[in-house]
Amino acid sequence: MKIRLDHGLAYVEAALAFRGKTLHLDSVILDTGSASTLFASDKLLEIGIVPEPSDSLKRIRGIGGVEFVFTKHIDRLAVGEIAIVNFEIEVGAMDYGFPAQGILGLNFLVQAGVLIDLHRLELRPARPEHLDR
Amino acid sequence: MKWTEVRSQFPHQWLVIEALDARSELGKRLLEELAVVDHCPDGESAMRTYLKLHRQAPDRELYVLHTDRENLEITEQNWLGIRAAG
Repeated sequence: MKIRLDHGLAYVEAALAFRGKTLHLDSVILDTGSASTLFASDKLLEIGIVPEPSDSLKRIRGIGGVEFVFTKHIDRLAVGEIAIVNFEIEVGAMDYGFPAQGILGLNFLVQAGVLIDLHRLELRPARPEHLDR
Repeated sequence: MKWTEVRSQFPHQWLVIEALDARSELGKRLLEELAVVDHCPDGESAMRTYLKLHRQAPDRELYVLHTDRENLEITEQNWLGIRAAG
């Protein structure tokens, strides 16, 4: 998966699978400074990722302010050939003043054992079992 | 209103809630005083209402909650945020 640089930030593409539907996002920020992985609710509503009574709730407090998020286990999160099944994401408003449909955080990157190559500007799977075949 | 009162007044409903008084303790957000901002037919419309209100007034502490939820368990998480260039 190629990494695209824009305004000094690293963007990748991601595909989310949820209850038989798939959503492709092309502006997801690669962020090793975020523990969790977050996506913009506006896009996710399109494939039926909506709040449900039993979702876990969080309040994210950051420099850009405070926002409420709910968490959801999606069937699969794929970044190019790197994929994790039954992955927990957070869903929120994501109004941070720059274009982003999601934040790919350290939980995905560590769990998938991703190699971040900033010389060739690409993400690669370190372990073959995470290759999406 | 407390959450127990909200639950009895609006049973089995999706609500957009504003926390008028809240505090943070041991990694949890405790909502002491609540106001019901809107009630919605389903989770999707509640989320859309929340997104609109949050963008109009980001300083309001708003939540999307279903009153079948017995206890409000809200985990707090800090995030340094993104710093873009230019």
